[in-house]
Amino acid sequence: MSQGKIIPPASRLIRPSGFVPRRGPLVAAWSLALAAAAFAGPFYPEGATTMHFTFEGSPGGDQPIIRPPGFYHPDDGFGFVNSPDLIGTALGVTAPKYFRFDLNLPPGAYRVTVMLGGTRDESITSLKAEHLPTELQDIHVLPGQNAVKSITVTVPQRPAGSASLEAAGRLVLEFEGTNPSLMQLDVKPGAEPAPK
Amino acid sequence: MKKLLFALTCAASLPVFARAAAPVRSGIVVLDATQFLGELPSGDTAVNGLPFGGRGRRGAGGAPVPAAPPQPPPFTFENFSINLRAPTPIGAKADIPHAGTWYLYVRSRSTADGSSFGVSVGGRPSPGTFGNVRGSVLQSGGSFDLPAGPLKVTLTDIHPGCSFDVLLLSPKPDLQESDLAALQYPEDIVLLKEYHLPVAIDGVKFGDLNGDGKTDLVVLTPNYSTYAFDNSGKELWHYEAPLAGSAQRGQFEAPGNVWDFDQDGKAEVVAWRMEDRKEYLVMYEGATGAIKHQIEWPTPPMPHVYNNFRTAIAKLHPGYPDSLLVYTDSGGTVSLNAYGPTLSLLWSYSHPRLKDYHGHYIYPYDINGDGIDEVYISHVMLDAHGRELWNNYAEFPDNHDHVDSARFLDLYGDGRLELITGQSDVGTVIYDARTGKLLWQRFANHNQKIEAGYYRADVAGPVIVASSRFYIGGLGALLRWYDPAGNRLGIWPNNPIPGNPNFVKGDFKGDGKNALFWQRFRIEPDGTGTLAFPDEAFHMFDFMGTGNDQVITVNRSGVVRVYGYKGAKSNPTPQKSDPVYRAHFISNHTHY
Repeated sequence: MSQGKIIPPASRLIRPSGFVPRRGPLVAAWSLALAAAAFAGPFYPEGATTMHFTFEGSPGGDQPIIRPPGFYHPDDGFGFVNSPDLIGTALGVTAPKYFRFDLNLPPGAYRVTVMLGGTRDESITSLKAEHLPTELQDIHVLPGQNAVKSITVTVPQRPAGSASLEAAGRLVLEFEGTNPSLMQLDVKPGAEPAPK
Repeated sequence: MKKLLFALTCAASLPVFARAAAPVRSGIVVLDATQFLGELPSGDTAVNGLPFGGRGRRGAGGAPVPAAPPQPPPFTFENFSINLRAPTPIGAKADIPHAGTWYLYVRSRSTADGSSFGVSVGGRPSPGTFGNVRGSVLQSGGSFDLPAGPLKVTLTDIHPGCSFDVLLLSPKPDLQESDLAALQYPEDIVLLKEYHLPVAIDGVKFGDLNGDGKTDLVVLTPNYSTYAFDNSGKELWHYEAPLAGSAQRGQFEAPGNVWDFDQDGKAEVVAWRMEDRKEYLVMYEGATGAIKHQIEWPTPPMPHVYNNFRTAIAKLHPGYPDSLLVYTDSGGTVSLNAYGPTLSLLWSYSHPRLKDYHGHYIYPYDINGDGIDEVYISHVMLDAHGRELWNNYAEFPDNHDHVDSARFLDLYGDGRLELITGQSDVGTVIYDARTGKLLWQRFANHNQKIEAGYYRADVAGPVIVASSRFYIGGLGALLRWYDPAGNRLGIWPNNPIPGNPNFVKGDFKGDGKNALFWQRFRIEPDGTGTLAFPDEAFHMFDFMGTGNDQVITVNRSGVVRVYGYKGAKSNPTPQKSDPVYRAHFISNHTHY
C-alpha cells in the first residue's frame, strides 16, 4: 500500500444518488460514454455518473489505476498523449515539464477535479483544458502534501468531417510547469458551461 | 516495415468474435453457469471453487480475503454459481444436437425475498419461474420442440437476489438431481493420478528423485518445510522448518527447485533451511534428504521479510544447464546470485530496492541465440556473467510498476524474441528482448499473469493473453486478448470472477500444439473457457512420461491431481527431453 496519502481515495465511482441531470440529451450521451468505457475495461458500475481515475502506484481497491506510459488508445477511451518524460511515483504521475491526458467524452460541459502532488520535490502545475489555459495556474504542492482543485470545461462539438484527433469528442488536459503532477482525476457531466 | 505489415495483416484478417456453444455431455446440453460469463453483467457476482479449498492466497498483496459463503450449499455444479444481483438479462449459446423435444431443467436458489427469474429457450419463454426457492433445487422448466442447431438460452425477468449453477436441456423427461454429478467437467479430460499428501501445500516441485524414471514430488509448505514423496505418494524424507518465523515466511511463496545438477539420473532438491537461527540455501540428495551442499542464504540476518525468495535453473555456460539462480528480496538490498552445481558463487547482482521492484521470478532465457541463457528479472536483463545488457530503471523508478510475470516469444516472425510482460498496473507491455525497447503497452488493470502463443483458432498468428487482476472484495480476474500489434481481440469473462489465477500450457493432446489453461478453465480456441477441474491448474508437463503433457492441479489441503486428455497421442519430441527445456519449463516454476 502507498504511504503518506493525505486524502483517502475517492470511491472509484460516484453513484448517481443526489445527481440531478440538467440536460436529458447530455445525460444520455454520458451514459453512452460510460458504456463505452465499461467495455474498455475500467468496469464502472451501472448507473455511474462520474468517471474516476487514480494514478497512484499501489493497488488496493481504488481503480482504475493508470500508470505510465499509459498510452492513449481509442478503444480504451483514455490515456496519455505526447508525454515521453512521464514517470510514476508511489502516489501519482509526474514529468519534468509537461504531460497530457486525454479522455473520450461527448460534447458538453464537465466538472473536472484533479488531485495534484505525490512528487518527491515540489510540484508546480498549470492546467490547460482543450489547449486553453484554465484558472488553475502555478499550483504549488510541497512533498507529502496534495491539492484538490476543480474547474469546469467544455468539450466542443467538432465540425462535421473534422479530421482532428479530437473529432469524436475528446477532452484534452495538459499539465505544465515544474514537476507537474496528477494523483487523481474525476470528471462529472452536467456542469454549467464555462464562461467564454 | 516488416513488423508493421505483419501487424496490419493480422488485424485485417481478424474474424468476428464468436462464443462457443455449451458442451453436450451424455446427450444432454449442459449450460453450466460459466457458459453465461461472456455476458456477465456489472453487478452480478460469482462463487468460484470450494470454500477454503483452492489456491489463491499467494499474491494477495494484503488484499482482503473473500469471505466464505455463510452456509454454502452441499452441492454446487462444478462449484461455480452466479449470483444474479442485477436485473440485466444474461444469456448463453447452445447447439442442439438433433431436432426433437427437449426438456429444460434449472438448478437455482433464492438468497433474498422476492427473487426470481425466467428462462427463454430460443426466444420461447419457459412456463416455470426459478430462483424463488430457498435451498438449491433442480426444477423442471417444461418442454420445447427444437430444431437442430444453435440457439440462445437467456435468463429473463430477473428479480435480483437469487443464484444458479446449471441449466440443462435433456432429451429425456426424467433428469434427477442425482444425475448431475456425472455431468460435471469435460468428458475428454480424465483423472490419471491422485495424491492425498499429509501436508499443507504451498508449492510442489517435480522431478525424478530416485532414478526410477518416474516423476516424484517435493512439497514446499507455507512454513518453508520440505517434504519429498516418490511417484507412489510414499514419503521419502522431510525437513521440518522451525515454527519461529512461520508467520513471516507464510506470507510469500516458498523457494525451491528439483534438478539433477550432477547428472547422475537422480535429481537433487534445492530449498531453504534454518539451523541455529541462520538461513541456508541447501542442496539435498533427492532420494534421501542427505545434505550435499549448503551455504548461507544471501540475506541479512533475521528479522526480515520474505518478499521474494525464488530459485531457478539456468544454462550459464556451454553444455548442461547446471547453474542455480537465487533471487532474494528480503527488504532493503535485493540480490540475484548465480551458483554452480556445488553452490559455489559465480556472480552476484545487487542493489537497494523497495519491495517487488525486481518482480516475483527469475527468467533465464537465451535471447540472442548463442545457446547460453541471459537472465531477466523485472526491469533488467543480465548476461550469463551477471552484467547488465539493458535496464529501464529511469522509465520505471517506482517499485509498484514491476513486471509480475514474463514470457519470451517471436511475435513478429522476424527471428527476434519479444519480452511479453504482465506489468502490474502499467498493464500489458511488450519489449524487444535484446534491447529493452518498449514496443507497445495496453491498459489491462493489474496485469498479474501473462501468456503468449498460438491459442486462438480465429486469429492467424500468435496472441497475447493477459490475466487482469481486480480487487472485488477479494481478488478477481478476467482475460484480455491482444494480437501482436496490441489490438484488443476481446475480453472474457465480461466482468471479473473470483480468483488469483495462473496459466499453464502444454501439449495436452500430443499433437504438438500447446493447449492453454487458466484457473480451473480450459481455454477454448475462441478465447472463452470451459470449467475443467475442481481445483486450480498448477503446472503442466509430461508427468506420466507418456510423451504428451498433463495438467497438475493442487489443492492447499494436500491434494495433487494429474489430468490427461482422453485421446492423447504419445508425442515424445526431442524438445521435451532437452535439458534446457526441462529446466526452463518444468523445474523453473512459480505460481505467485
